[in-house]
Amino acid sequence: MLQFQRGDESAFDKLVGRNTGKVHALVYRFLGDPGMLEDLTQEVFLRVYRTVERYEPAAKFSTWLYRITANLCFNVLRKRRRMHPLSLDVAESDDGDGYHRDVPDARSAAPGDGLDEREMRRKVSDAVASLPDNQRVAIILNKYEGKSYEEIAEVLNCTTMAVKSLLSRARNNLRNALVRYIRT
Amino acid sequence: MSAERLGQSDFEDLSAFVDGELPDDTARRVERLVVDDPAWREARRQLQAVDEMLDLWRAPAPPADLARRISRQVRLSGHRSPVWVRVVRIAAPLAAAAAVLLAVMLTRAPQTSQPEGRNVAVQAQPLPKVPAGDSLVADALAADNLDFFQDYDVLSDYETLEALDRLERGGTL
Repeated sequence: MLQFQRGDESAFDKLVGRNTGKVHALVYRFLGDPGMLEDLTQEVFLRVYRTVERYEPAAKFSTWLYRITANLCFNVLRKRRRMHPLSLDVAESDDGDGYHRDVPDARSAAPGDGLDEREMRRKVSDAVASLPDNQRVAIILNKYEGKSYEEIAEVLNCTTMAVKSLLSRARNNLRNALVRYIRT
Repeated sequence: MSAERLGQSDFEDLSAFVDGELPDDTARRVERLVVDDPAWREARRQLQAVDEMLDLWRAPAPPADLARRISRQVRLSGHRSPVWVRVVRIAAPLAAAAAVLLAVMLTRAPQTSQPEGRNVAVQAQPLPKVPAGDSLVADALAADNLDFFQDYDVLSDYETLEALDRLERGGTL
């Protein structure tokens, strides 16, 4: 990044090459929208390219990249909510009756039984998608990017205590959403 | 024993314990509770299960040529002009607009200036018509810079429209 900041354009290619997969996965997990995946991944790097002068070496490049990605995804989500104010506020229930089952349901199959891995993956992605934005970002950075509380705090511009609380609430929400699939 | 028995603060500690983010003394306390307390043990087990479920959710790999395409596309659309070019781009239209405005003001100044000491009623009287030739310089400037005005949305300025109208009627345009 510093090489690119000093004007070495070939360094930008290396930077894109090294980080495309990471940004691609992040955008996918933040938004869960394969349709916009490549465009948004490109948009992240366009922002990096255009704001290279503002990068301060004090911050880790990955933190800066995650912050750009998170902000871009937040903007997309905000626009979506403005266009479809109801669709994201009320998540679909599994049974279509409007109730979210936070406790094991006697009517449902035993945890994991009858669910193939693809279905289970969808349950998990739905559960993550239903989290509030900052909880979702926190859990994605923690779980899939292996980021420490300090790094997540830098991305979200908050304290490590706030990250601790966000992650705990995210896990509690995920547990409630997925508890019926947990084997006893 | 229900895992829900844990309060929010306890659950936060357990969650941070799983992440290895607790200070040593708190981590030891939580470790002990997980061993001794069935509610803590159950909550720990559930967190572990959720974590394993999250492992199932894998992101798709990007197309092999995506990085190359992004590099190329970003260079095409993201290229920044040198600072001096950006400054000229902003300053040139402003300078031209200021010049036009100044020229218009200078040519119109004699028409609007009134001798001191006149009363309000006299000042409110309509000004005499000035021959078109007097503002010809400003009108010609407006006509010459028509493209510029269109580009920068200055054409809505009444004076400019009026000038163009005069030129058109006079057969100059």
